[in-house]
Amino acid sequence: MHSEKTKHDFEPKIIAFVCTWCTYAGADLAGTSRMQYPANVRVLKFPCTGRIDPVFILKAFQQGADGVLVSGCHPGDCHYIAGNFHARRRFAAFRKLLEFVGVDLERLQFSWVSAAEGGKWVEVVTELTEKVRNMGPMTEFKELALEEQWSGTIDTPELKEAYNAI
Amino acid sequence: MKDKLNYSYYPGCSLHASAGEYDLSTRELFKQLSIGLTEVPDWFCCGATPAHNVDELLSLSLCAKNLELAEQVEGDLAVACAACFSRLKTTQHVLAESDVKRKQVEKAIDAPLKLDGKVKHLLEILARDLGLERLAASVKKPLAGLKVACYYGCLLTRPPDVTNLDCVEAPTIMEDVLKAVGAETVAWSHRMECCGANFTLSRPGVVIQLTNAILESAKEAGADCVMVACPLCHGNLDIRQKEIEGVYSVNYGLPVFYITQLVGLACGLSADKLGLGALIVNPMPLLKEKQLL
Amino acid sequence: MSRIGVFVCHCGENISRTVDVERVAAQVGKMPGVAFATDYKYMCSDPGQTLLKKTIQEQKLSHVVVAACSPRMHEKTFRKAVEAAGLNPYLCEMANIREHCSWVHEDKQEATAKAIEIVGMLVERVKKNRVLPTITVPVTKRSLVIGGGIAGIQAALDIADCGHEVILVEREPSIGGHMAQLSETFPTLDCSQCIMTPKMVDVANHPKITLYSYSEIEQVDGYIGNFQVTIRRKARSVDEDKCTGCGICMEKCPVKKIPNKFDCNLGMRPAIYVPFPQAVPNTPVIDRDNCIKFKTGKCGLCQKVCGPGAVDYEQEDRLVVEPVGAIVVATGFDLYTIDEKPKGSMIKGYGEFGHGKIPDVIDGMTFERLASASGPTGGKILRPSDGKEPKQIVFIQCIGSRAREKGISYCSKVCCMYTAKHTMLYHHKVHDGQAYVFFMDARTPGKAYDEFWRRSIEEEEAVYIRGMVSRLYQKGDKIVVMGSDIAVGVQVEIEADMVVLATAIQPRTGADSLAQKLGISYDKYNFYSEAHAKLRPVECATAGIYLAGACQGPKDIPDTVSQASAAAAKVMTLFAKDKLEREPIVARVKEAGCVGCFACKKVCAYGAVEEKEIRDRQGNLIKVVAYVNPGVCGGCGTCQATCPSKSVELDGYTDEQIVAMIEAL
Repeated sequence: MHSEKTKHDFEPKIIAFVCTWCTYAGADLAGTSRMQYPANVRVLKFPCTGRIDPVFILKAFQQGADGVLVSGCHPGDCHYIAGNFHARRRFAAFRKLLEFVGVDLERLQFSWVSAAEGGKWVEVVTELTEKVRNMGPMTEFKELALEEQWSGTIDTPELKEAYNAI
Repeated sequence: MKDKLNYSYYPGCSLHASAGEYDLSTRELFKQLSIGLTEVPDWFCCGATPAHNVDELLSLSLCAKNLELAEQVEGDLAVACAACFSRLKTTQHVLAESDVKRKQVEKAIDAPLKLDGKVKHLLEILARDLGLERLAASVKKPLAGLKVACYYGCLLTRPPDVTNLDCVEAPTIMEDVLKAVGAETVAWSHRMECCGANFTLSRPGVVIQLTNAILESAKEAGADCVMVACPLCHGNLDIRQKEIEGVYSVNYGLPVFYITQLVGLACGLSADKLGLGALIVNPMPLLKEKQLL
Repeated sequence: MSRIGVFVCHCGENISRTVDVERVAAQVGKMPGVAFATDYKYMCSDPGQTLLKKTIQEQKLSHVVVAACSPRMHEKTFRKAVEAAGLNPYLCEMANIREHCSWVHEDKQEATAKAIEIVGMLVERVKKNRVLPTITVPVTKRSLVIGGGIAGIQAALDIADCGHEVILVEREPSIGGHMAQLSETFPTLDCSQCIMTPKMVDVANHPKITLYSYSEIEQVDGYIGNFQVTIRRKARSVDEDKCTGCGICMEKCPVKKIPNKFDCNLGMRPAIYVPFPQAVPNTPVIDRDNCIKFKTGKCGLCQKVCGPGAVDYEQEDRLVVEPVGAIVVATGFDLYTIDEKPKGSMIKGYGEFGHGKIPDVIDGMTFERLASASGPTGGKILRPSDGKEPKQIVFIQCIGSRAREKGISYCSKVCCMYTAKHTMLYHHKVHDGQAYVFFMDARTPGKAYDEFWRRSIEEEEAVYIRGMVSRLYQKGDKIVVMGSDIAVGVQVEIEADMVVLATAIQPRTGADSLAQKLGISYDKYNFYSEAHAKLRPVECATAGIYLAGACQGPKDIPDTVSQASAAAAKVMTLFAKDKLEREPIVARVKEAGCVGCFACKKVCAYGAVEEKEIRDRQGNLIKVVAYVNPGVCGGCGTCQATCPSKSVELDGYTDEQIVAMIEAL
């Protein structure tokens, strides 16, 4: 049954932030249905997409993720009544911010995958993996992270002044 | 007062033939109301009503080309005939929904389509763009005492998401216009039934039956006359009326007016300018009786 | 330093076929903080669990990671086992290397590498796990039932029979709801009042039931086991304690001609009235809009003739607060009407049927009142317009239901059956009459339902025409029904004396505002949403609130009664314990950092965030901070992601835990 596997030069790291009620269960269903998808994704379970702080996305990119997926219940299906609506609103604003700081938004995907949509989970993960693979590694944030592990020297007069004023 | 209203005008074939009085009264009424009306240059048949049954691409292309021609004239497109209105609106709707068909049509007419111009029936222009208040203010001779059965036919409001004219099953736009010019409208059952339209040539038996039911119901409701906004409906209700009376041994004697004729009359236009003489069922006795002439 | 134990499961071959479990255990064993790592054939089996418990004790493990199937499958199993070994259950995490790894990948090398990473993430996470105490909340063993139709009555009686107090709140002056209006019921044709009124009396006489009729829910506070419900008892103008129900006030009232809503406006009632003779409570109410005393200050006849002096014109609305532990919502339905709807409304009327202006075009409920022996015509089928007996009657089904163009796409479920019943009742009462039914499909799933429908055709001679009606109009004293018979493919025209429309079941007007007070969710039509369509059909997602009857979706009487008893059983399950235990996945406020902006309160769907004053020893207010009530908190964590000062944390999903997982990558 083993299909011939194509070797790629670059295997992207994809981090998926999912809610436990819909998308996590959908991913479980993909498993129980023995569907196949690329092994690049690592799933982090949250009770609700409403819990997902945008900072986690930044953190994921800093830690070397090449693509991030956020997925939860379809609008109206939220186990916690409205968490996914809050998430949707939050991420709509956050995308703009990411774009502003120069992250290619193609690396960040939002989707709704229900507990019954094992197939959709496979589709979403496969598509994102392929897309990000073609885009190559995400280096900007890693570099930025390194830069920000700064020496602690305050090198501009303004910062110095501010520091002294504290 | 808003700026002057201006429209491009698509009369359609009927208005240049059997419904000449509709064309005449439309032009005269718009002149009287100071609404600009510029005929689309070089317009041609929209294909109503047989083309779309035979060849969809042809019917879409005919309308699309006319729409493209209309874009060259300033203003929304004013349409008098319900069948042309239906075809033009349908074309806009279909081409907006389907990229494939749009590309096919663009190829067929060899021109890119914008499709953003609005297509409006005369009714909408009178009731909404000009507005009932301004219309009422233009009235010189209210149609007091005239009991009118407003006949919509099937194409003006259907299908609702295409024509988007008024409530699909219980429209009031015709009644609204007539009340604004002082006429009385009757409540009747067959306002929305089909008259048979162009079956009048191929299956006259069907048309006579359908049209009889309409005339009978208007008469029962106590109407003095019928008002239409479509040359096909007019043809069946007016031209065929004598024949129907013969077939069913009844006597209706219901003059059938175009909306522009009745509104024009109220706005003080003469019978000549409104082409009232061209009607088959003679309206003069009724209008004289009501002291409207 | 933590001593983490990692247990890698083979799951028979389910995992070990594609994941080299021994390698996973070996690799993970080298990770900092991991004191022990092993693999085992079936971790969830009894010996597997014993291995887990034994190792915890022998190795003095501080945390546990079980790498096996989905936590949705066995998290509870392993947490229980860990607890049995003396560790806090929340110090155990599962790494999903089956559904998310071995089953979805084929390449063993790749899958093994992924499994190691997954387990590694959970190892880092579990290090940050904290001991979480089980949360317990007390339970007030009294229940509120909203709505006094058959659903509310059944639920109230079941709960009360179990020995728990019930507060039954009904908006109308009498309980009974729609079922009290029906003439006979399908599929047995027993008289609705005969089976309904004894239950109504049971409610009135039950020592454990407090009935608040003519009352509405004003406000709901609190949470499962501990609700505070404010009820508005509308001014009845008659003292319920003094009134004996003799009815002399109604006899003497000079205003007589007010259309009675209970009789679908066919019958008349006075200004002081009970909606129907068997009303419970049998206490009249004054309709202040139509009462001469209230309009002009004169009259006062009812007060003069009332022996016990129960009539009280000064009475005002009163608010009562009742503490309850559970709420059953049983608010029922309204019927769709074909009249013109406001512009822009999602639901549309039937212009083609004259928007309800033809007098002899009635709805099914009006037909019920005509057919009812206690109805305005004494059970005779007579036309509202002229009181003549209709000889040709047309029933039209699916009015509003399954009509996407009118804005409703669902099936109302009861109309096929009650229309069949109507044709029978009609045939029983008008022997020389002919009934026609226009229908799309006959939907008769239910015990003895299809047999009943067949009987209406085969024995009661109803003519069923498959097709819809395009237009109704008045012609003389007839109603012309223009329709199509799609089975034969012809247009049909019937001159009917009367037309009965089987109009759709809709949620009560105002169902949405009640839902907002209760904090429960509802669908686009305003039907209340159950927690799970199949497995939790009577519970709301909001804990402690249960649904019964048509407020959740169209239902017939047997289904409604079943659901009501099910809701009652859920309430009794809740009341079986003195204290409630719940998963301690709740938000907690770090008061030091909280600035009291209450952004968390705005996003909380449960109303769990309260305002808490912090005072110094002298009692001076220092600041107001947020407080999350652990009994109410749903545990979604939206507050935490929203908090600008990061001062609220969801236990079990803290930033520390999540960042630890991200950093493990």
